[in-house]
Amino acid sequence: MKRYIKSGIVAVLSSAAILSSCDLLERQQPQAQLAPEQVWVDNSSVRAAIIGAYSSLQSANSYGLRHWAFAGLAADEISWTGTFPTFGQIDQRQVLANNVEWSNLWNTIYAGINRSNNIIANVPGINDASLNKEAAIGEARFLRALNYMNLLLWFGGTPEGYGTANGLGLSIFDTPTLTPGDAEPKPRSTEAEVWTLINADLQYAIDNLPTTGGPARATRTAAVALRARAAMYQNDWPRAYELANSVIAGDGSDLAANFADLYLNQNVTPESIFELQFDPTNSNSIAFFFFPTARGGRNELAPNQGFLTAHEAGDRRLAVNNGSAAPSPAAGTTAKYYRITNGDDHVIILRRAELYLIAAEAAAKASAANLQTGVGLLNEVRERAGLPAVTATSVAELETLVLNERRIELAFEGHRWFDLRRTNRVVSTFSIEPFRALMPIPEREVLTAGGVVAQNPQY
Amino acid sequence: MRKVLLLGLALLFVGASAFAQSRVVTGTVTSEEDGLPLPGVSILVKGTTLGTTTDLDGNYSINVPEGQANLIFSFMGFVAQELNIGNRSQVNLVLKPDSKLLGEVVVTGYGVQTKREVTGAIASVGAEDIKNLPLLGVDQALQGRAAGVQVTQSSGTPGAGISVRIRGTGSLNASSEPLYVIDGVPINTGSYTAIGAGGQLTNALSDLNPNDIESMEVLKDAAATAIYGSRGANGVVLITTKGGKAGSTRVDISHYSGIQQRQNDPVQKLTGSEQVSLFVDQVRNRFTNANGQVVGSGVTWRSAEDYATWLYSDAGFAVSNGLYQAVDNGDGVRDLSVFQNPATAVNNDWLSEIFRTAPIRQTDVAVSGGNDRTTFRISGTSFFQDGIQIGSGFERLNLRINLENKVSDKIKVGGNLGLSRSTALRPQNDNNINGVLSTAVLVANDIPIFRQDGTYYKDPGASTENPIAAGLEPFFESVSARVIGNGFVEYDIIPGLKFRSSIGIDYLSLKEDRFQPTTTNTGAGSNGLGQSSQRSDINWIWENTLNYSKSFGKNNVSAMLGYSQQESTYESLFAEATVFPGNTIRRLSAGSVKTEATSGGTSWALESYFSRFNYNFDERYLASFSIRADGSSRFGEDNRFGVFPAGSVGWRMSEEGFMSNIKNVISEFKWRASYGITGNQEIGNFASLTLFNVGANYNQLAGVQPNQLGNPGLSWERQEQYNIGADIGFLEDRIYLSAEYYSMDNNQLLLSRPLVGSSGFTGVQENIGVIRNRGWEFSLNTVNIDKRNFSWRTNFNITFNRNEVLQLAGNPFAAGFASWVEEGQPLGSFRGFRTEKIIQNAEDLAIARAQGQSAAQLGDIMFRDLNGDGVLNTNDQEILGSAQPKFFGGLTNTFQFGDFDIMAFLQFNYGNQIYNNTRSFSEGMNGVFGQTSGTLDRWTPENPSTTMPRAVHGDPNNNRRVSDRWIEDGSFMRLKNLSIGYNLPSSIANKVYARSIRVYASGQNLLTWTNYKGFDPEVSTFNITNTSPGTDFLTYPQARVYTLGVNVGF
Repeated sequence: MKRYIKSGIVAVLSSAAILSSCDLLERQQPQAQLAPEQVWVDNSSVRAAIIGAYSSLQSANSYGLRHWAFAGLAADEISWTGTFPTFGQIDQRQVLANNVEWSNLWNTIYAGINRSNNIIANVPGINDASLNKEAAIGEARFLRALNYMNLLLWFGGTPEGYGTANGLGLSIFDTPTLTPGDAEPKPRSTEAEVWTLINADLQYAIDNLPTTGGPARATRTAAVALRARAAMYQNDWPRAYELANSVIAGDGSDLAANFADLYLNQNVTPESIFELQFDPTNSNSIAFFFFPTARGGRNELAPNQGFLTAHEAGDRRLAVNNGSAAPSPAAGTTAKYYRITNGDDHVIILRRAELYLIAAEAAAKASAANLQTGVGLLNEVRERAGLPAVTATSVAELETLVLNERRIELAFEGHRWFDLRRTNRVVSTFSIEPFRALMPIPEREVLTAGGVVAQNPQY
Repeated sequence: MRKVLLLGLALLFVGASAFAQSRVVTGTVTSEEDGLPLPGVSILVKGTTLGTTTDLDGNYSINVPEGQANLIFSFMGFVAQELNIGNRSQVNLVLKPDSKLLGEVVVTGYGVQTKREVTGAIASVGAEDIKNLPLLGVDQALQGRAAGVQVTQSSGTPGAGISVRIRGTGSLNASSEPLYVIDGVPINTGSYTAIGAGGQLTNALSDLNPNDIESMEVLKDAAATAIYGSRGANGVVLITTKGGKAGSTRVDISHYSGIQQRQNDPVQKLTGSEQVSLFVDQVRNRFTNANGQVVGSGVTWRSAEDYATWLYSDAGFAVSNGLYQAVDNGDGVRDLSVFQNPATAVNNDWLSEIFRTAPIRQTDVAVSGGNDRTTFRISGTSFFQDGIQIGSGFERLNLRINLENKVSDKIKVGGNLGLSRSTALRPQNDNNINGVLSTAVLVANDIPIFRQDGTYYKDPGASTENPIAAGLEPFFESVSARVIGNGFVEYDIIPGLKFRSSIGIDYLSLKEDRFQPTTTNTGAGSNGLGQSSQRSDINWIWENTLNYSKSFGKNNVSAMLGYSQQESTYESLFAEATVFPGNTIRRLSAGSVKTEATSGGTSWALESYFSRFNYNFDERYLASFSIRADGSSRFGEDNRFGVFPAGSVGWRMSEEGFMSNIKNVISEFKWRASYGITGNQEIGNFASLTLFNVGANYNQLAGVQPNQLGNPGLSWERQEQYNIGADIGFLEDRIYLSAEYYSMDNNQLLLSRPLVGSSGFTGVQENIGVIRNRGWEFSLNTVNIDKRNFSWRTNFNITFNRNEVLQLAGNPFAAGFASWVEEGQPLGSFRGFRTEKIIQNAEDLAIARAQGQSAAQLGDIMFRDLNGDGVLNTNDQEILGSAQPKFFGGLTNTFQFGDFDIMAFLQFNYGNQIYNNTRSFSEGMNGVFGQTSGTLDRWTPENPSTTMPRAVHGDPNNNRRVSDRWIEDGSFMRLKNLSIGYNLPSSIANKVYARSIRVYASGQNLLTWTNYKGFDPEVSTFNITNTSPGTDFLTYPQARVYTLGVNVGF
């Protein structure tokens, strides 16, 4: 017996010796994560990185809800009917610098920018003949431009609008953050410098993106459309008109015949240019935020009553905007986002109706002589909505008409607050202090930067 | 050669016995405790090497040489006795249990010591201290019973997490829970839940059965913990389970049953009518314009009642004369008529609907015994508890087998095996609009439970779940299966030199299933939501030690050398499906849309070398040194091995000659001092690497994203601690005082150094922070009265710990709801605004508006412009208090009158604050939530309250911001346990062939003295975080428990 025990001890000792310390410690490796050198390998690994960059747009802190919802909530398009005090602050336009919604949105969008920066920096060094490097970089730069533009619209410019020489900009990060040293804070550039980056990115995208792949992925058309939008915010009216006009047919034939189809059927081309795709396994909670409790929602948001009242009689878009066009309508919702069961409503980022309205406004603002061209383009959008044509005799009158049209047509797509800002109407519409036109730079960012990143005035 | 030697020795003895005359002495040794024979007692003829031990029946027989008359009887745990036998040949002896504390054996890391030899800071809790208490977990058993150990049962959720802090919190982001070692196996602790329920998590420690515990030793200072190296910094709890004793086989059966109910707490909600009036006030105060019109949602309403109806219910509207009017559904709930006449409102009482009187019971059977070679103990326990909140409950089955066998004089083998299966029913809780208590508070009392058609009435104005539906409809079961065991072999190589090798395993499996039927808000939208998760953690450890001990005259030396390997492998599987055919089948196979399927795994390993050297001279001068080197896969490649040394010295002054004349007054006086370095390796498995993460998918394609910046220098958190203590015993140790002063600096704390979000990352893990804990601990054990038929003992302990954050990675930061981490402040500080006053008149209003409260009106709160710059903004916040108590402790009194005994245990906590976030919602008066009775005193022009502001929808002045309004004194004293027992006379017991019968009654949480206004002052909604303790947010309170029990021994 004793001998067996002894030999047992010897056996255990010797077998354990096989597990040398090196083996024991080194064999512990991450199982669901990659080291950077495993990411930048070939065409397919680059594709995964690009998909990752699109994925950041889906965050609930970006187009997955908050970016466009806050553009309606801060303005007169969406009402707060729920329980998040942070949403309440935005609804009441009394935002504090420590409102966590803004640091979440800021951090999420900048993380998306870093994903683009990684692709832009690493793709040139990859040896894989099947990799179209320019197209890959083009997609990354398109997404980076979109992200910078959205940040700029929230946190930059002046209380009067965008595109002026004294506009406030953002910290520009255009190379990847690979080490803690890369993450040192950078002072805010001017608004003009941020536009310069956006314009260059979009020009590269226009030059290098393929014409196919939409509306799920960025195409050349999407890049042109986004560049037109950028030009609008920069008050670069001739360019805005030229680019927007280059994309649209002009006669309304490229608009979906039935407005509701855009949302009920999804991916309705050619109108839809860039449409963020969701599916049941990669879903959003947008409908959840709108739907009433009894239908499984959290009842946080609802179309603003005044906004619904602003629809003209006979406007076909009312049934979409107030939710009644949805297959199983619920009060306080919109038919643009009604798929509460699977959370697979898409979010349309760029579509041709917006370009009609950009072209309409830009035509007149570029040259008053083109006022009627603008009125004509505006009426194409109205006609699809089942509304009679309008007339305008001055650029200012047309601007008001276009703005009203944009409010109804582009509701819940992330435009209203920025439209009011770029036309300097925030203060007059809501009777708030001018400084509140810019959202505060998140307190966390300002504190972490230790004085390098300046807060917006008066916050 | 060896044979020759042995033969020679044998001849020598034979010769000795042949020449000396001797006689045989026989007898029986029994225990005074229970009168039963004691096997294994050693008996030595004084002045010789002649000895024997008693057999199974306590009998012995010994040859005593002529001229010798003194026998020494000794047995572990009993007072050794020397007896002059004269010329008797039959000597029976009754041994007394050793009540003298110094004789107690203390379990230490990789060894045991007698209490007099201990030079570190170690607190012990024995089986006797916790017997017959309705304790679910072993961590509860530590509460209030050991100085320096702060145990916070963060909620009353059965089986949920409990926070244990040994000498304060010394980390920010790594775990601060101690290492638990059961019979030598370091076990997995913490929560393994995959499915969020709100605040309270699961607790891997709740798999253990407190009834199996023989003793728990809490290792506190570096001298005691450094032998556990990189896992010692949070302290170590050594748990020894009960084994068998040689002797006739014993069967012990015990059972208790009891009821649990809600404690008396001061929380009272508004009645339905009061709530409806408040709603109308909220609307009127917010939406009435200068012309007296009610303008809201961009339109003008006929009356405040109309708009309130529309806002707080699902009413529609009609327009008449340009005025909007509510069109209600006429069901009598939140109808226009109800708002117009609040007296007609429904009056429900949600809190009494969700609390119930619930049963608790436990049955325990243990069989133990053995002979001089083999001992065993087998026990099985069944524990069952329903929660006092509907839908919650916990049950557990335990089986434990402990065996030991002496193969030969030199070889011993043994094993301990504990099996358990526990099932927790876990409704959602805390910070959750689908929680049971949370909705019972937040859904107003004017909402009935059911509609007329029998379906649940859901709050029509909010997304909060119906409280009864929250408790009864979802199915959420967590089933934990656990195996903790070890096997060992010990080999006495030569006398004094012992080799031990053991292999231990902790296998933990947690299976969770949740189904949200269509009757719940969560399941309604998705036609049923099912989730299923399986997690397992397999942790094996192989340890080898070599122990040597030897005495040279008065020099006593012992040394230990060890090597161990440990590996932990964690696996997870999670799936989710929606769109079910109905609510009958809860399995995912019925869900038509599979929304998630993931599997994951991670692992860590530790390789260690350790050693300890103890020396004492005459048990008077004591010294000990230990060192451990840990290599961990968690550390960055630049820092793979950490070395953790500690040293300690002791001086038993009472053994010196100059104290011998007062030995009858001061029976023991020992000074102790220690210094050492320990570590905390709970820094995450791969925190040092730069990594991209998977799962960033889009459009049904797979994507990756950067998610972690690496730091190859990342290492353990490092603790430097010194300890000075004294143990003083008076009057034969009837009064025994231990006092300790300690100072610990935890540095190299793992901290995410914040990075600007514009870099794409919000932080990088670095070793930068420093936290200091310093404090005093006192424990006083007294035997006040020790008569044959009446005894009274008192154990008292108190701890004063001061925590301070010395260094952070940059700026102070917020945590939880109101917690704030700042250099120079303790962890758990609360920060916010200070209320100046309620705005009573135009003058006040002008001041408030001038300082930037532009939305303020009469009845709102003016906050204090703390920095005096004329503008009220986020800079006008300051530290409002701290969740750290000034002192805490416990007091146990035990009385024995004949066959009766009484135990009363008081637990106390003084000087801490609680952030009552529940009240910030239930007295916020800003929206759709049900409110509590404090709001009855709200400001109105007729009732110019100075404490409660006006009610206003949306709270534009942000009256309910984080401020001193919600900070409350959390001090409390609690009669935690009171038990009364009666041991039936053995004459009665013997009639039913029992050895002993005891019946008892006990109560838990019987009385609580506190000023706290919430449900329970012992609360922490963020129960696993270091940075935000002491926050109450809709947290399940502990129950008051009454039990009756019986113990029968055969």
